[in-house]
Amino acid sequence: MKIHKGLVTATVATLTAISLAGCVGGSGNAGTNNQPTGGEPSGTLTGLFFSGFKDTYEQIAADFKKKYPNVDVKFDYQGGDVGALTMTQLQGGTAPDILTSFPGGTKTDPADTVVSLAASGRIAPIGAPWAKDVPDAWKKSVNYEDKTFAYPGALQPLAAIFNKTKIDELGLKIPTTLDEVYGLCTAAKSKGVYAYSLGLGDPAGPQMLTYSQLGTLEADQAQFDADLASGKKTYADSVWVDQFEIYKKMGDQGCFGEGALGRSRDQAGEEVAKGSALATVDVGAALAPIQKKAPNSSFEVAPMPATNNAADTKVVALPGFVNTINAKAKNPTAAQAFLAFMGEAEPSVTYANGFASVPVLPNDAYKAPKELTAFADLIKRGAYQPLGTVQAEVQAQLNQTIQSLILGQSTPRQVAEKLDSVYKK
Amino acid sequence: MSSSGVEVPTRSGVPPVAAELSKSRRRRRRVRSVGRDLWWLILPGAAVYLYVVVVPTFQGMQGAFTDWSFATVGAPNFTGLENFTRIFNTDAGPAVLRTLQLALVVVILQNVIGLALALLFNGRVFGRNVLRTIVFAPMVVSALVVGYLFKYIFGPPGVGGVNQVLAALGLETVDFLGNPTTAMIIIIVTVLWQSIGGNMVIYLAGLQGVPAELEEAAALDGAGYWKRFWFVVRPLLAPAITINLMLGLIGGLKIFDQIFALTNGGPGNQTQTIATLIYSYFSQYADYGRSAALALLLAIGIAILSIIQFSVLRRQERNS
Repeated sequence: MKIHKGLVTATVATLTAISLAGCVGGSGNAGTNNQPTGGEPSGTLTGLFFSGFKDTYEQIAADFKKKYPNVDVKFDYQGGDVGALTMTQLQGGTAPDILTSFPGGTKTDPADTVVSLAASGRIAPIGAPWAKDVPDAWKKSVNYEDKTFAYPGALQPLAAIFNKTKIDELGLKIPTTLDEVYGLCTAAKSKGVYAYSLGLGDPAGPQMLTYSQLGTLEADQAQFDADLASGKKTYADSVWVDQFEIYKKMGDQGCFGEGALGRSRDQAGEEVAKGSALATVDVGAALAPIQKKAPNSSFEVAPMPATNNAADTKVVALPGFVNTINAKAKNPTAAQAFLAFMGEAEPSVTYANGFASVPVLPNDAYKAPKELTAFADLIKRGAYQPLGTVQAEVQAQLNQTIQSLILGQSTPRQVAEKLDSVYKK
Repeated sequence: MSSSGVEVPTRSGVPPVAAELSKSRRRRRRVRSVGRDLWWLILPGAAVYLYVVVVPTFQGMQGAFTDWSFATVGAPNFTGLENFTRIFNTDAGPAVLRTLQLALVVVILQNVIGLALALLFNGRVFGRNVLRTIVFAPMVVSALVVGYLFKYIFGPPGVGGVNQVLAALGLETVDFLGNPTTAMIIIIVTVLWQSIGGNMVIYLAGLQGVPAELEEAAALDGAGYWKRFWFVVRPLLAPAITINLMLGLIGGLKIFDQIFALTNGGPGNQTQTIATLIYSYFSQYADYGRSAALALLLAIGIAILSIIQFSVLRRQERNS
C-alpha cells in the first residue's frame, strides 16, 4: 500500500504540474517550422478559408502546386463565422500558416482585422513584389506602420443587386434618387411584389443598407473615423442618424416586404432570384448564389441612393476577406510564396471572378463580367467610397438595434446612442 | 434464533445468526479491501478530467478578474470587479431575467408533457414502443441541427414551411422569428421538441418501479385514476421528478444552441440570454475576461438555484 500511496502522490503531483504548466504557457505554435525561412518553398502549407469560396482557393492552390511542386497544400474550409474561428485558433496556438482576416480595423478593437492582428504581433509582414502596387486608397486596409500585412484580394460592391428581368417585366426602373427609392417601394407593392429583400434576421444583415448609403451621406469616412476616435464626433451627432431615418421610413413604407425581420441573407437572395422581391442590398459576393438560383434572369448591381441628387450617389467598395500570414506559421516560406503568387495576374483574376469582384491590384488580364461592368467603371473613375472602420461590438449592436428600429422599439437617435455606448475610444 | 428464543448450537459451535453476521462482516471487509487495492485505477481518467475540466475552470475564474482579451500581449492585468460592473451596465440585466423566464417555462412544460407522455405510453396503447421511439428520437440529434431545422420550418413568409402551408390554406402568414414574442415561443417549442423524450424516459423508468398491486389495491378501495396517480404513483415517482426538475433547470439556464441557430439573440436583442451573451463576448468581441466573468456568474447562479431546488425536492421526497 505504501508503494501505491507513493505512486499515487507522485503521479498526481506530476500531472498537476504538467496541467498547470500547460495553463501558464503562452499560446505558442504547436510545431516547429517544417522548412527554414528562405530558399525554395517546400513542405506542407496550411490555411483556413471560408467554405463559400472553396472552389476558388482550390483552383489557385492547384495552379500554385504547378509552380511549386514540392509544396503540399492542405487547406481547411469553414462555414459561419470564420473570423471568430481564426481568433480562437490564434489564441490557442493552433492557427494554420495562412489566415482569413478582414481589412483595416483599429488597435483598440480586438478583432480578426489587419491592424489589430499586426499591432499585437500575430501576423507577419508580406514581402511579395505586388506590395508596392497596392493603390493608395486601399493601403489603410492592408498596411500597418508602412508595412503590408495582407493580400488585398478583390473589391466588391456593397450595393443593391437588382433582378433586372423582373424589374423590366413590371415596367419599373432602377432608382437613382432617394425619392425614386420610396417610389419603387410603392410601385412594387401595387404590382404584388416588394422592393428590397434584406436579410434583417441575419446577424450581419441589417448593416448592409446602412453602409451602402453612408458611402453617399458621409463625405470623408476616414476623417469621421478619426474624429470618432478622438472624441470630436459621436454617432449620435453624425449622418448615421440620417441614414437610420431613411431606414425607418423605408420600413414603414413596406419596402422590405412581409416577414423582413425573420429573413436571413440567403433567404433574402432567394426572394430576389424568385422575383418576389426586386432587389437585395448586400456585398457583391451575394450575387453568385442568386444567379445560380435563377440562371435565366439577368441581374444588375447599382449603388443605393441616399439623397435626391443622383450625381451625389457613390458606390461603396470594399475588399471582402483578405489573407494574412500567421506570425507563428510553421512554413513561412511557402506562406509568403503563396501570397506572392496570389497577386500575380492569373491567380488574381481567378480570385476576383470567384468573389464576383474587381481586383484591387492593377491587372490588365481582368475583364469585368456584364453585371460588374458599371461597378468596375466607377472604381476606375474613382467614383466610389471605401467602407469606414466599425468596431466588432459596434457592428453587433448596429445589427441588433436596427432590428429594434424596424420593430418600432427604438428611434433613429437611440440606435446611434447605443453605438456610442459600446464604442471603444 | 429458535422459536423458543434459545440459540441452537451448530457443529462449529457458533450460533447460526452469529455465523451469518461474521460471514457478512468478512464479506464487507473483503469488498472494502478490493476497492482500496484498485482505486488508483481511476488515475488516468482523473488526470484527463483535471487537465480538461478542472484546470481550465480555475483558469477561467482567474481570467474573470483580468483584462484578458484577444488584444492582450503578454500577461493580462488584474482589474478586480471591473468586468462584472461592465456586464451589468450593458445587456446582462434583461438577459438574466429572460434566462430565468425561459428556464422556468421550459422546466415546467418539459415535466408536465414528459410525465403525461410517460403515463400514456406506460398504459396499453397500440404501437407504444414505436411511439416511445418517435418521441425519444430527437434527443439523439444535435441541438444546433434541430435549431437550423426549425429555422426553416418557421421561416419567414414565402420561405418557411409553416408559412407556405398557411398561405396554401389562404390564412394569414406570420413572421415567427421576426417578432420577439413569437420568436421566444418558437425557441421554447424547439427546446421542448428535442428534450421531452429524455424526461419521458426517466418518468417511464420511474413508473416501471410502481408495483401494480398497490394501484390495484387502491382501485379496489374505490380510488379513481387521478386519486391513484396523486396518492400512489406520484409519491413513488418522487426520485424521477427530482432528477427531471434538476436536469431541466440546469439545462434550461444554459440553453444556447437553439437560440443561436434560430435567432442569434434577435430581433433587437430580445431573445438574448446569458449563454448567448457569453458567446458574443467571447467569439464576437474577443473579450475573454468579460466572457469568463459572465460565465462565472452563470455557474454560481446555477449552483445556488440547483442547491435550493435539490434541498426542497429531497424534503418533499422524504415526506412522500
